[in-house]
Amino acid sequence: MNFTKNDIPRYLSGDMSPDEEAAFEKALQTDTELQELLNLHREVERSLQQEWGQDEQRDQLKATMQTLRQEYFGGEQQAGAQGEGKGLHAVQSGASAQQGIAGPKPGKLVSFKRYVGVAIAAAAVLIIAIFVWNPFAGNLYDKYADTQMISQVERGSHVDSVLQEATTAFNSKDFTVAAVNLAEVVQNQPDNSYALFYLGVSLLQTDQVTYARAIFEKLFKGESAFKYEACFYEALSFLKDKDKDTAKDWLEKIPADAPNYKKAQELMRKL
Amino acid sequence: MCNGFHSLINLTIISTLLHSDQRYIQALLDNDIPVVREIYNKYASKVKQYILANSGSEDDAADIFQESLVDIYNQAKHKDLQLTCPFEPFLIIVCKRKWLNELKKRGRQPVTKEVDDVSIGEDAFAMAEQLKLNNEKMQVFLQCFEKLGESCREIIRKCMSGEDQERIAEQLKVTYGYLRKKKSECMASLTQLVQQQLRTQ
Repeated sequence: MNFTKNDIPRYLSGDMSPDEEAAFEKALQTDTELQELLNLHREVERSLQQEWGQDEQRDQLKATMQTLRQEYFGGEQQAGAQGEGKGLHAVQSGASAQQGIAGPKPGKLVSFKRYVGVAIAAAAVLIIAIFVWNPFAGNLYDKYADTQMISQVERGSHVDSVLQEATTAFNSKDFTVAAVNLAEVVQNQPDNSYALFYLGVSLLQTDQVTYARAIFEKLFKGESAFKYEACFYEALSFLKDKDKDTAKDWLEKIPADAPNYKKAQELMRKL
Repeated sequence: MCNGFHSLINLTIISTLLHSDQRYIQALLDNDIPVVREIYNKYASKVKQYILANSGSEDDAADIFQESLVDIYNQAKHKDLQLTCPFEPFLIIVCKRKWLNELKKRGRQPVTKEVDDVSIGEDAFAMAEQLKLNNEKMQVFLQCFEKLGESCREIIRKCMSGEDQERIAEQLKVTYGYLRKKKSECMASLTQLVQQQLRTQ
């Protein structure tokens, strides 16, 4: 049997009889022209679906960008100011209506309940995050970034002694040495969120901000006891860069039942 | 990493946080507002500077920046874009190409002023090339679509929007069977037009 381009849609929508379908598939194996057309047909259909189909996430992203546009590209008249007929320009003429959506609403919030369980189990570890509050110290970042590591139980393995060294270095504010040691611990124990978190703090303290943020964000995405403390430090990293808006955005992600909620709110008020 | 840092940190970061800039891509997918803001904060001024230096306006820059991010979003969502290079050179090169294309459309001379302080590696080029190819293909699909008759355009457009086909048939006042048959025919014509077009390129 000979098949043509007109048979392709019937094949794709499953409208062929079983015999015909089998014959079509057999023909496909030898007929490269038919094969090519079938693949192209699929590709065209998929692409058009992507272009014209509903995409709520994309709409939300566009709303966010519309708000940021005014902030970062000056207050020039938009929505057809130039009339170049470019897609985005036209689509977003309802900018002011979309602003509300892109306001302070957090991108996505993690389940609080799930967190509570983890938090209780890890309460002991969280005590680590004792803040040394000195009202006479320098700027807000310095005040809030100060933290101490707590010595872990000595078990005598090599990694434990490296962690011990890291703790000593960290607490005497030798963050470069602490980072090197903590990096070794993390390499051996990739799931050690305790070491990973303090590696992040050490990197932040030594101005390796990009890497520090990568670590905090990884922790924030996870479910460890350091989830929200990492979020707090992510905020501090922006405070360090004098980017108060982004710092606030991160502080807002800390939910009311997180152990560091009060601290986050306190800092937020000061910003 | 800079001076005084043990190479171990480097290693650790590479092994545990491979392509950490992928987070920007994820942020576009999730509409993660603080991180999207970070993208604007870090890169908007560079793109603006480039476009202003190359006969564009601030508004052009905002459009190009936005459209480029949507392109990247689409690529990530449908083509599983994985960053194998830092985000910055990739974004810059996507914006730059988009702007050159726009200038061509407006009948202007291509430009030569470069973006400062961004070294663009092979990976960024390769990734931007992929994105460009996909965009060009999409343009071919859309051009061919425009060549179809009005009823075919209407049917394809409606069917591709994801709306329920029985409802579409109702709207168009045809039977469901007829709609399906017609859609098949229209798609076959479209595919053939696309094939011809791609062969002549």
